[in-house]
Amino acid sequence: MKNGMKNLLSANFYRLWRSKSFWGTLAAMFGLCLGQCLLFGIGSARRMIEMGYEEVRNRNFFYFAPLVGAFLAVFVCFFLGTEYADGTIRSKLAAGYRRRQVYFANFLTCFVGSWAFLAAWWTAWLPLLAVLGPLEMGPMMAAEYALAAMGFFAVYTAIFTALASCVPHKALAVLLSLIVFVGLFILGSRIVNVLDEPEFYSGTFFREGELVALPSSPNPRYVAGRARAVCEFFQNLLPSSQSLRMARAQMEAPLRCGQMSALLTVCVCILGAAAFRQKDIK
Amino acid sequence: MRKLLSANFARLWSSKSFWVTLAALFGFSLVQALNATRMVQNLLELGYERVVDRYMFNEAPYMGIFQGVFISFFLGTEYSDGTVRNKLVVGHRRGEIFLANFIVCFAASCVFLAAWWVAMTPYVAGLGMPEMGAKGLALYALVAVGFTAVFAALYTSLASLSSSKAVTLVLALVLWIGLLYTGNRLVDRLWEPEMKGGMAYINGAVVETGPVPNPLYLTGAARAVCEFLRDLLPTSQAILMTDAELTRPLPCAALSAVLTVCICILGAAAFRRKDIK
Repeated sequence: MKNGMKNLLSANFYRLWRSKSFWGTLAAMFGLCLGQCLLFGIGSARRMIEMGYEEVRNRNFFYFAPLVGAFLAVFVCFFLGTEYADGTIRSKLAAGYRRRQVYFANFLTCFVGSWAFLAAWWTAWLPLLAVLGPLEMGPMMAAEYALAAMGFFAVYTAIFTALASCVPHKALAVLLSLIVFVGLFILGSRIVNVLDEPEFYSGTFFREGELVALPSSPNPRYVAGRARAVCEFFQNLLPSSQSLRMARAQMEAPLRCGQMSALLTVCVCILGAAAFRQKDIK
Repeated sequence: MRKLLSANFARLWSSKSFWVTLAALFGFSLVQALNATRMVQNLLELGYERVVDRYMFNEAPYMGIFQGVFISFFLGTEYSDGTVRNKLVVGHRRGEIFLANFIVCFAASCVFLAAWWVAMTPYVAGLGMPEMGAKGLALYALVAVGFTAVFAALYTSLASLSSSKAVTLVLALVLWIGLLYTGNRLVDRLWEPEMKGGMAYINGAVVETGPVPNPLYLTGAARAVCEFLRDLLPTSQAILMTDAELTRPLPCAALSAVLTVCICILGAAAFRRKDIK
């Protein structure tokens, strides 16, 4: 249909700005981030600076990164679930729009909506920077982190759009999305922990009132060679492990993570659109 | 009431959400039990004590999430299919409908509880009976029934007041996370020691410091209030159960019973005012 995509996007954005699920989830996330920042973040960062820790502002500012996926899951499933519940998808198809167009318009709307979540998260943590000073990483690295964040937001949005498009039942879509989020979180966390294992064990202990240094010994949990390369690949690919690295301000190559996210988003979108094309819409 | 219960139970046994949640809970508990068995065997070889008790109830805090999912789906169907309206039209009272829903959800929760305990069989078979003995186990079971009842009452109230199944599910999960966080903070704060001592690194040398009062230690009325809330909340009871640190199981169970009754009364009162479309 001529101008099909433009019409669909226009209708979707019109609905987005009036969507209770969008504003409700956004307000909940902003409130939680602001509460965390004011009640715990600033105080704990101050104590850490006094104790001589490094990169305190970096680590506190991005602390919320791993949780954003849960908010996106709720928002995307509620926003797109309404399309099924109200019969909007059927009406769009009956009006002559192609399924691919409907799917991509939905994904694009949710992805643009997710930028508001990024803005809410960063704005809520601004008091930390106002009180304790700018991020240690500098503006260039912060911009790269923002790109990486948009990357994993895109992956999460693609996954949840695919789920919400294939599951007409809103509550079931929410549940499945949250299960996928928790599963990805556990997987990402395991990968990050495995890669953080030191190559050698060393340490000190007390013997008769004196500190004794232990001889360094190889760590059996250390992953080397090809297995390490595979783990590093998945660490850079998965949105959950990217967000965990971001929360610790340990992203070594945010731009590469962004590229991997873009690639994964395209793959998930293609698969999701293919599954949606086969879907029996009642 | 008898008819409502009979209809609810008939629906329960044929409910997909019930069987899927039960299977998921059983599978999750079984995996946890097998993992815990391996871990405890390693710890016993290293000479640790009382570890059989400490790893036995690892799933306790997660019971709330399974109940939340099941009750949101099970009772949400009543709204989406118009069953609640039909029940009212044929003359059942709102109080009866609420109570029948709670009873069936509580019964289903007890089945979940049984599935969790049955899944612990490999743990007990591999490591033997826990040190707390049969009496301790019975008391722990009683506490578990208590906090399960509180969760059932909370989620029944939520599901009765929210007509959208998806909203109920999200609210139930948010409530569970909030209660878990509060319970965790209470337990952590009450575990703070009264005096602190240890090693300090001063001018490049490690110095043994004498015991000093811990500023985080709660005293007086604040401690009494926190202890009361810890014994009252289902999540803090579950956290204490996970660590095998339930020192007052009977008061905990009694408080759960009182809290369940209060939540049911409040939930039924709110449901009575609900505009059912």
